[in-house]
Parts: sequence; structure tokens; C-alpha cells
Amino acid sequence: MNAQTATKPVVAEVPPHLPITGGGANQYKTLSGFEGREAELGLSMSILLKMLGNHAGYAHEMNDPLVKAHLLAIQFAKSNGMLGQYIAHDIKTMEPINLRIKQIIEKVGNPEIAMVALFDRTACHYALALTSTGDGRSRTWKDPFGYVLTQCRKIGQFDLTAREIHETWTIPRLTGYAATMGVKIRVSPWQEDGTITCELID
Amino acid sequence: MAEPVRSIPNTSPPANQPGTAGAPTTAAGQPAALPSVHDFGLWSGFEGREELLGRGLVQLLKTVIADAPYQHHLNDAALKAHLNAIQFAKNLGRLPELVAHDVKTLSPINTRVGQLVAKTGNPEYGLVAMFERTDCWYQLVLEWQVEPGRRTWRSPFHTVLEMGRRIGQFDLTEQEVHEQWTAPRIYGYAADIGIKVRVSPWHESGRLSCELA
Repeated sequence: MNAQTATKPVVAEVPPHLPITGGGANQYKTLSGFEGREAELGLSMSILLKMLGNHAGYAHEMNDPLVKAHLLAIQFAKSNGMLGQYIAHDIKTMEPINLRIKQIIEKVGNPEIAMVALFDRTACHYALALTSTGDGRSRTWKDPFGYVLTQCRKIGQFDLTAREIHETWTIPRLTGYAATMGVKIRVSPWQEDGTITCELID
Repeated sequence: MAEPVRSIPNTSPPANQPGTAGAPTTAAGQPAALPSVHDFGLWSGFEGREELLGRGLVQLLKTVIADAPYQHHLNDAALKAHLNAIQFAKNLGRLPELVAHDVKTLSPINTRVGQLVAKTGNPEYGLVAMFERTDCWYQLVLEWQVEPGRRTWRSPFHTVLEMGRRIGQFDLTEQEVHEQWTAPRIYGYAADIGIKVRVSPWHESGRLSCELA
């Protein structure tokens, strides 16, 4: 079965995250927000320290495996002339989530929710773009691919450039996600310093 | 008012006095090399990289605090990136090509590890390279057991696949991912490193292993 053509996507539930502290007496407690999740936190801290301590070839950053997973797939699609198909597949895969966001936007009447969904709420973005900042109708981040690409191109792993990824992968994906949500966005053209901005437009 | 100058008391006992914490000596009675002034300090290892550490921590905390609609783990985004690519290749009937592309991409690294294995004659270096030393492995799997000649782990795809299948994102199963993605990739890496391994068949518990053959 082809997961994305056999059935119509089921709109995902997107419940809000629970508040860190409860009401009543809990408001007076000093809480970290991670009570009950100490093992998860400790394991994650261990991975983080291991990641940042890895200087094999170059100083690894926290997003290193995620950047490489994307680069691997993008290079595969590019080398086989299937990048357009891969992006369409990606947008289709995110459709159940993004359609749900569209419903929330329509219900609340605030398109800025789309920006929160695209950037602030999605690990697939904030785990990739560690410098992501902004609020309201605009978000800015530094291209996360150039640093790893510079290292990996030296040993022939990829022939992609950061600019190529921005223009042929990042922009069409974001634009596609936004279209599913029923909003329009503008992603900045490539800049040599790697700064990328995405804005909500009317 | 300025604090009065205080002299630093000399707490060092005479060297080589038995039962004291004097300068350590080697078994042969030679004094051990004294630490440099720099090494005498306490360092976190992140001096000068505070911003990098901070960004990593922010990402970590945002991920671990995300418990809707399921408890997210640090590997969430990486799992989804892999599954997205695997499902794409599967839909086109080109999964073996994606695996071959992956193995070829890692070939420059693995060939170099192969030189280390050949030089030392110790295939354990190959396992260390594939598991403990590779962030693409340990940030994906998070936990695994290390024994000489053997690594054991739990398939990391269960939760994300289950959630994704519910809303029609994937039709992959964990078994399929193991048999058509994980195992052939490990075999391909091992071949480039020049070691022989055996990856366990799929087990319903999700417990999997790789051992030197």
C-alpha cells in the first residue's frame, strides 16, 4: 500500500501542551516542570554532552544527525532527479498535522498560529534551526546546512550547496506547509551570511 | 575597605611521606608529572562554547517538555526525517537504492575506520565506530548496551511510527524498517570497515542486536 495515496489523510489531533504548573497549591510550589521526567532529562543531557564533546573531523553541534539525515535524503532525491517528488511527498506527509492547524486558525481567526506551528511548536524545525528566533508574523534563523556541508563536501559525501537547499527544498516545503494551513508566507531569498527570514503576508 | 592580604597556607606535606596526600609517586618511586597550571583548574569543557551549550539545552528542554500528543524524546525529529525518506523510497520501490546511497555516503568515513581495524587487528574498533562514536546512531537510538563484540538496543521507531500510522503519514512497520533499512545499512557499513557482523532478525519485543561474526 502507498501510505499517501491509498487513503485521505486523517486530520491529526493537536492538543495544547499542558501547563507546567497546575493550579491551587501547586502555584506555590517551586517546580522545574520536569517532575516525573528526570530519567528522560538525564538521558537527553547525556546525549547533549556527548554531542558537543564530539570533535571528530569538526566540532559537532546538537543538530548534526538531523542535518545529515535531511542531507542524505535531499542528495538521494537530487541525484535521481526526484527532488520535486520528494518535496511533494514531504508536504503530503505533514498534511494531517497542517490541516488541523488550518482548522484552529479558522476557528480562532488568527493566522499567526501558523507561524507558531511551523516554527515554535515543531521539533522538526527547532531541532534543525537552533538559532530560530522571532515572534508574531516573522521568524529568523541561520541556515543550518552550510556548516555540515562544508565539512562533508571535503570528503565527497554531498555536492549540494546551502543555497541550493534553501531555494529547492526549504522554500518550497515551507510554502507548501503554509498553503495546507491556508495562509501565505514569504521566505527571504538566499543571503550569503545564511540568514533566513519567513514572514506571514496578507 | 579592601580585604587584607592573606597568605596561602602551605598544606603540602613533605614529599614521599607515607600516608599523606603529598605529590603522587609512581610504583617505581618516581614522582608523577605535576599538572600544568591550566590543568590544575576545574573546567567544564565548554568554556568559549557557552552559547552553543545554551542552544543545545534549549532544544533539549523544549523537546522533553513536549508531551502532546505523546512524550517526545530527543530523537523525535531525526526519527521523522528518516521515516519520511524511507517511506518516500518505499513508495517508489527504490528503498534498496536509498540504502545503497546511504552506505556509499558513509563510505569515506568507514573506509578510514577500516584502516584502523586493519592496523590494530581489532574488529571491536569497527563496532565502536558504528555505534558509540557516531552521533547518527546514538542520537537516534538513545540507549543501547555494550558488550565486547556485541551491541543490543531497542528499535527506536515504535512510538513515532504508531502515531504517524494513525493519521496516515506512514504505512511502514518497525519490522520492515529493521529488515529493509537498519540491517542492510549496518551490513554495508561493516563491509566497508572490513569486519563481519550478524544483525539479529526482527523480534516482537523490538530488542535487536549486532555482533561480530
